[in-house]
Amino acid sequence: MSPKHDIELMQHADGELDVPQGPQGPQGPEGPDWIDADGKTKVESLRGMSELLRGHLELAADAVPDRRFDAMWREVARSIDVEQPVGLLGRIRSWFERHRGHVFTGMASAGAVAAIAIMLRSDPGDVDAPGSTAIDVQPVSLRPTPVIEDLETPGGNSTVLNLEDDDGHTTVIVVTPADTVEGI
Amino acid sequence: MSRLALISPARCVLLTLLATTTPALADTPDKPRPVDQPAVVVTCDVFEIWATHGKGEVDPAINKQLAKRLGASLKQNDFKLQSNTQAALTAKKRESIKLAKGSATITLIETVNKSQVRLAVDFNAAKGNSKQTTLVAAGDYVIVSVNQSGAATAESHVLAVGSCK
Repeated sequence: MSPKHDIELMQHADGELDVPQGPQGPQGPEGPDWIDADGKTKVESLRGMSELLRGHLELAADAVPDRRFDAMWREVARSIDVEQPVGLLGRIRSWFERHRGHVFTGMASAGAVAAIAIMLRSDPGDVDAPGSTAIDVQPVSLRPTPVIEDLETPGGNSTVLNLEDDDGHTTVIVVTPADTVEGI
Repeated sequence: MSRLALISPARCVLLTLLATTTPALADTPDKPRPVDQPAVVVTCDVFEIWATHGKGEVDPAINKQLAKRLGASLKQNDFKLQSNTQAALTAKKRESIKLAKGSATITLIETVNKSQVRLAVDFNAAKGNSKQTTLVAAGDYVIVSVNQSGAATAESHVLAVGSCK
């Protein structure tokens, strides 16, 4: 059999040959009349080989792990993201969307630190600061009675009275000469 | 790539922390207060009164609140105002009070609970004297009455300090 005949057989097996008008006549139910028994064997072998190769390639394609596709899609999405220069606002929005978690974490941390700092700054109590310029006049009911903490009346006797009325408290110190005899 | 994208998340967090906490921590409690802060100034009314036994006349220059207290606590019943002043007291500084007779000094030792004052009053009356330290609430009075003799009808030199605010 000639090499040209083999090429025609391969074309026939691949369906590339104009079959009804084959090189040597019309096609019968058993195949083209120009193919002899040896040629038919070759065509069958070629078809078997083709099926084998196709099946092997399909199996290989199915064997690719899904995670590789996921990684590929991530890469594709990232490249699409990077190639989205849609103005300054768009970039800012994109940046915040990508780093939202970090931004929120930062804000929460800053808030906590600021709260601690403010608590540390506040005055510990009602200690009178030397910079205060006035005292508060409390309602009479809240005012404590005046207290004489120290009293000296040289050459005299003293009597202390505490009065309380609607206007408030009054402490009265009455000093009399030491040689006074009460009732005289 | 934009400049914003160059700021890493860690830098962003640090910058936010610094921006928030730096002003708050700028004035720490341990930092000494400025020296030029105003000192404590408390204003108290000071009345110098001459009290006698009479018809119960009260100088109209004496406010009713004080007159009522004088009448309720002293044996004398006539009260004549000798001098009246408002003393601006600075903490720990002795303030001399000009009187018609005698002399007086008042020292604001300190304020307590922002509503009381601790006062040291040194009253040198026409005859006799008195020196005391009193803790008194704002709005209340301390009255020192120095009898000029031991007689039952003795006149009295009175110094009233109060209504501090």
